[in-house]
Amino acid sequence: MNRELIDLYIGRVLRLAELPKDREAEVREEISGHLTETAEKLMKTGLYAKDATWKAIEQYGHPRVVGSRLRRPWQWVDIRQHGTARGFIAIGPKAVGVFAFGGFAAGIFAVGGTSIALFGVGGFTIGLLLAWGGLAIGGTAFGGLAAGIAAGGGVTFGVVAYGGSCYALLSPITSSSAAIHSYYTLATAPEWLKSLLPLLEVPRMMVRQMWIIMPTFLALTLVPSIAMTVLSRHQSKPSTENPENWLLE
Amino acid sequence: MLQGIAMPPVLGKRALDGNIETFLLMALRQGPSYGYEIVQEINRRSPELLKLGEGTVYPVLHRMEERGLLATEWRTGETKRRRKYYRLTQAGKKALAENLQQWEGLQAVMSAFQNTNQQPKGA
Repeated sequence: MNRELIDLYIGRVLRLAELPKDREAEVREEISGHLTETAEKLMKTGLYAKDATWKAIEQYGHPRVVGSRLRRPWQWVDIRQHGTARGFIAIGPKAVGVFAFGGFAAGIFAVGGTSIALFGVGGFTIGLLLAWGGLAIGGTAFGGLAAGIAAGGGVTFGVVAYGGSCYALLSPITSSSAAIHSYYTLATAPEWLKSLLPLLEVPRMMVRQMWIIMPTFLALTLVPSIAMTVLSRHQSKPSTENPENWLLE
Repeated sequence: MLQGIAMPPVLGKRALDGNIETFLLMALRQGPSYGYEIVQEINRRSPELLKLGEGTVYPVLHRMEERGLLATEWRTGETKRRRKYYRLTQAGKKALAENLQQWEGLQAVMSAFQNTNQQPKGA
């Protein structure tokens, strides 16, 4: 059989499984034994070593599927350099958790290049309650381009909003706004609309506390993003160099 | 078997969910075995209906081991190859008995409904 191919396959499976080191060695030996035995049996039917190995691997399953099944279903803390981290605290290129940090992050509190959460922070973020980022969409949204029920930032769209350029049903703040397109004024706005104005306190507070918030934002997004990018690039190198197809997808 | 119902070509994922453990427990009822042999045994018993991916079996075995249903031991065979043998623990035997009991119950309910449906209403 083709040992190199088997090692390549198992390496791919284990990368996705993210098992502890001692467990990993055991699983490696077990899968290797299984594939070797299958390949040897196939070789007895007349297949060449490489073809037999390839067929044994095909029978075993796609590395992505096998790897994800081997992965522990839920962890308190899951930190990984590839694949999807899942846990109470999840950190990875993709992260799903109560506190999720990653290139793509989803959870209750999510910080990432793209984030979807109740409270989301990131380059592009959708936050049901609070979204804060370059492009932010949410109940309360704050960012370069922000859209939401209450929105604040550079360019904003909202039911109530304020910002450099603002498009809203009601925009109460005039002094800091370059262009305001407010359908109502405070005098003409219906009561239900005025009752939403306190929501704007959140983005306003964020502007007031910017000297604290900006470094926090950078620490939470920029530093992990760069680290993840560097690590991911390092990890993904072999997959572009090897000609085998679905083995290394 | 229920009357008038054709066998499916292959058991679907929904039918398999929750039952793979029972298949594995049953395969190990005869004595300790290792992964490759277990897969072969399952495929030998049901080559058409049950198409279990080989990679599917190991994660389930590992989880069963973690839950204490199976115990494991590395042995070196005649071919000098090390193999991880799985065997049923007391908890595994108990789980198997319970699962089979549940299965009997389910089958009885299915049959009862099947028989009822075949009788004309009001008969």
